[in-house]
Amino acid sequence: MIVGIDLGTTNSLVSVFRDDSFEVIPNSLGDFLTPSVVGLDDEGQVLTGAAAKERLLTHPELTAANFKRLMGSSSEIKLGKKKFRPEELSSFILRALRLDAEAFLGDQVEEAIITVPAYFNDSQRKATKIAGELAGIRVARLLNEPTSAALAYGLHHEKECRYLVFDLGGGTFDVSIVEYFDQLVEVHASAGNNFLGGEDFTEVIYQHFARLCAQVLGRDAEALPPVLDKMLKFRAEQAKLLLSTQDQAALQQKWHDQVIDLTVTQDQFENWAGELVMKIETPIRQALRDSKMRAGDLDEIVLVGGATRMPLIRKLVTRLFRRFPSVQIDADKVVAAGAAIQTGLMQKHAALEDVVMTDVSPYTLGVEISRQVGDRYADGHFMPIIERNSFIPVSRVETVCTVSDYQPKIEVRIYQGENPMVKDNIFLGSLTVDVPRKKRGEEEIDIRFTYDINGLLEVEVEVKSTGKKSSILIEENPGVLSKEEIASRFKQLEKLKIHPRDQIPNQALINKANRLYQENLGATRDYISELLANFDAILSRQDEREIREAREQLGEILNQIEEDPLAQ
Amino acid sequence: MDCWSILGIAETSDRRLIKRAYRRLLRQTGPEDDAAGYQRLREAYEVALAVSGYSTEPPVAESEESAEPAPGFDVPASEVREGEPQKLDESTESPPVTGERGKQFEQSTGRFGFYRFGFCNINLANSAQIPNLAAGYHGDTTVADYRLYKTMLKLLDRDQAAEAEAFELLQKLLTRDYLQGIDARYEFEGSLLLDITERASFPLDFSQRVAELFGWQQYGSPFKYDERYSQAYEIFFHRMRCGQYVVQDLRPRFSDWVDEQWMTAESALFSTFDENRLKTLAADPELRYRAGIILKYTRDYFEDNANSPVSQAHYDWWQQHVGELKQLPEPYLYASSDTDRESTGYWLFSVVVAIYILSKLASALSAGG
Repeated sequence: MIVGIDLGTTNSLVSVFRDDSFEVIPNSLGDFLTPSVVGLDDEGQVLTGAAAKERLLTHPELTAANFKRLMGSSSEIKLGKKKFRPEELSSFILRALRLDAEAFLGDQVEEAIITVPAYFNDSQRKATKIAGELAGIRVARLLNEPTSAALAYGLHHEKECRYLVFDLGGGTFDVSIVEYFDQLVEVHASAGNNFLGGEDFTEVIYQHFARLCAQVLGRDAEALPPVLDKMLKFRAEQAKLLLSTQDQAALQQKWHDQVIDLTVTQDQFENWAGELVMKIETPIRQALRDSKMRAGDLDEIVLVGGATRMPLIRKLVTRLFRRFPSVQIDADKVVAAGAAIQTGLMQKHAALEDVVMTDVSPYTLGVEISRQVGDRYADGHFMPIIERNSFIPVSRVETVCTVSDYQPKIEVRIYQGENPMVKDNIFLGSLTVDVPRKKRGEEEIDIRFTYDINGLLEVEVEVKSTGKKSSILIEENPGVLSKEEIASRFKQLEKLKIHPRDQIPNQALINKANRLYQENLGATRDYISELLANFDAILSRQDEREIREAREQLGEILNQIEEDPLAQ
Repeated sequence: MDCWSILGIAETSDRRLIKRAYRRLLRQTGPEDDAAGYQRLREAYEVALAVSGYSTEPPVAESEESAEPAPGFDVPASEVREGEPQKLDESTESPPVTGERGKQFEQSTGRFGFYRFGFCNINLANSAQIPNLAAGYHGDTTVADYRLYKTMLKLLDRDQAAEAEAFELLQKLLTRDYLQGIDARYEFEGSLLLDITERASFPLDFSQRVAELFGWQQYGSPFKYDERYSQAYEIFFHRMRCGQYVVQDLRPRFSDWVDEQWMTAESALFSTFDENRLKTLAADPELRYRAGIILKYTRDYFEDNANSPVSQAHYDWWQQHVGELKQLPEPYLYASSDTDRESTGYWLFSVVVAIYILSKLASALSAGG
C-alpha cells in the first residue's frame, strides 16, 4: 500500500487514493491533523502528536517541536538525556502516521510519497528521505508542496487556467506559478523562503507578550522564568488563532498571584508583522519574473497552508494582486490531497489516466571554477550548470579544463545558489578526480548534473582523455547522514519503545489535564487533580466502554476549563 | 532533429498548436517514466515557443475575456489594442510611448516618466477586480502625483543634497494605493529606472537607496525578460558601481571638494557614448585633466573590461583624439589651467628652475645696484 504524507512544520497529515478519489486519514484521536511534536514520556517511551504537544508546556525538556526547520543540518535536539537528529524526530512522526494509516486501511503501508517545501535544498530533501527510511517506509517520491497543492487544485477545474499557489506553512513559504491545460498541470516557476512561516508570526506576538510581562514583573524581557516563557509562547499561538476571526485577542496570564493582561489588536499585529510581510513579496516577484508573467495574467490566487488564514495575509494578497484570493479546498488538507493524487498517478490509476504533472527545480546548481582575469586565475566563481526553474528531471553537461601545468587532480566543488561568487552560495559537496599530468588546459573533464524528479542531484564526472567516470550522490556533507550512519541509527531507534497507539487518546487527555493544572491556580487546580484521579481509577478498571465515555466527558470539561479558566 | 520534427508538427507561430502537440506527446513520454525522452521533448517545446515569437500571439488563457481599455491617462484608442491584454514581452515590440499623445507629451514636458508608467499601466485596470483600489489611480491624485514625480526628477538634477529630498518624495509616492499592486509597482520601478539612467549626471545617493528599497539586486535583475527595461538596468548598475567606486576612492584622492568640472567629467564618461560631450571634455584643459584621471583610473581598476563603468567606445575615442592614457599623476588638490601634469617631477623641476631664475635675477639686480 502506498500513502501520501504531508510532513509539516506544525502539523502532519496522511492520505490515500482509493475508489477514484483521495481521502485524508484520521489519527487515533479522530483528527486529520497530527501535530508534528515528539516527546519522551515519563517511562522514556516515545510520544507523538497531540499527546506530545500537550507536554510542550509541562515537560519542555522532554518535548520537541518545529524540528522540520532543522532538517538538513547536523544539529541535534536534546530530549532528556538522549540526543536526536531532526530526521530521527521526523521519523517518529512518519511512523505514527504509518500506524494510523495501517489501522484505517487494514493493510500494510510500505511506501509513501512525502511532500517537501519547493524551496527545500538538496540536503533538506535527503534528510526527509532518510527520515522515511528510519521510519521503515520506502519513499517513492518527494513531491514539492505547492506542486502537490496545484495538482489537487488543478483537477478541480474544467477549463484551462493559470494560477499562483501561495503556500505559507508553519515554517516555510513557497510560491509556484502553475498552468492547467488539458489535464496537464505544468509548474512554470517556484520560489520561496525556507525560514518564513506561521511560527514567525507567532514569535512576533510572543515578543510583545514578553515585553508586557517584563513590564508588569519588573524584569528583563529576556530573563523571564522558563515556565512563564513557555506559557507566553502558548498564549501567543492562541492569540494568533483568535486574530484570524476577531479584531482583538484579549488573553490573560496568571503568574503567582498576579494576572497579566495580554491584549493584542489586529492593527498592532499587522504593524509588528510588517517586516515579515515584506519578505513575502520578494519570492512572488521572482516567480512571476521567471515564468515571464504578470500578476494580471493569473486567473486565480490559491492560498495553501494554515498560516494563510491570518487576515493580514489575505489583505496582503488582495493588495498585491488586486483581487481576492480563492480558497476552495481546505488550506490544511490540500497538500495531503495532492500527495494522494500523486500516489494514484504513480500507480496509473484509471481515474487519473490522462493527467500529467510537470515540475521545476527552484534552485540554480553549479560548480566552482576559476576565471581568467588578465594573465592570472581568480578562484571562487560560480558556474551554473542547471539554471533555476528549469524543468525536472533534467540532465546537463559542462566541460572544464585544468588551470595549471601538470596539475594532478581536479576538485569539483558543487554549489547551489544565485550569486556569482560561490562564497555566497550553499556548498553541497565535492568530488575529486585524478587527471593525467599535462600542460594546463590540455586535460578536460565533463561534469554532468542530473536532477531527478525528486529534486535530488547526482553528479557524474568523466575525464575525457582516460574515459574514467566517477559519480556521487553528494554525501560529503555534514547535514546528510551516510549509509552506515543511517543503518546504525535505525538499529538504535528500533530499541526505543514507542508509546502504544491505542493509548494515545487517553494519554493526550491526561497530558492536557496536566497542562491545565500547571496553568491554573487554586480551586481550578484542585478540581483538575480530582478529575485526573477519577480518570485514573476508570482506566485501571480496563472497561473499554466505560473508558470511552469517561474520556469524552473529561475532554468536554477540560475544553470548558481551557476556554474560561476563571469561571471554574 | 529540430524542434518541429520532435513535436511532430509543421513550423508554426500558433502557441496553442505547439502546446497541443506537446501535450499529446507527453502522454507517451512523461517525466515519470522516460526522463531522457521527456528532456528532449521539453527542450523542443521550449525552443518552439521561443522561436514562434509567441509574444505576439494573444495569450491562451485570456483570449475569451475582452480587455476593456480603461480611461487612465486618456490614451488614444489606437494605442489600446482591444482584446489583447498587454504582456510583458509583447510591449517590447512597441516602445512604451509611440502614439501621438506620447510624442506630444514628451515634447511638452521633456520628461515623461510618470506618463510612461501611466501608459504601460492602462491595462492594469483590467486586472483590478477591486474597483475602489484602482480608482485612486484615475482621480486627482494621479495628476498631483505626476507633478510630485516631476519635482522629484528636478531635485535629482539639482545637486547631491537634493537627492535625499527626492527620496522622501519617492517614498511618499510609494504609499499610494494604486502603486500597491505587483504589476503597477513593476511598471513604476521600470520607468523610474529609465528616468534615472536618462539623467545627465547620475544621482548616486538616490540610486543606491532606490536599488536597496526595491531589492533590485537581490535575485538578479527583475527586468531580465523585459526589453523595455533590461538595458537600462545594466546601465544603471554599471553607473552605480562606477559612481560608488569614484566616490569612495578616486575623488578623495584627487580633490578635497567636488567641483563642477568633476561632475561634468564623470557624467560624460559614465553615460552612453556621446562624441559631442567628449569633445567638450577634450577642449577644456580642466575637464581634460579630470577626464584623463577618471579614464586611466577606471581602466587600471577594472582590468576586466566587461565590468568597467566607462565603455570601450570612450577609451577608444580618447586614445584616438587626445592621446594615450599616461601614468596617473600624484594626488594633488589644486588644479590650475596648465596643460601637462605628468608627475611631481615636473613641479619640483619648475620650482627649482624658478628659484634658480629668481636667484639669478636677484644677483643680477644686486650686481646692477
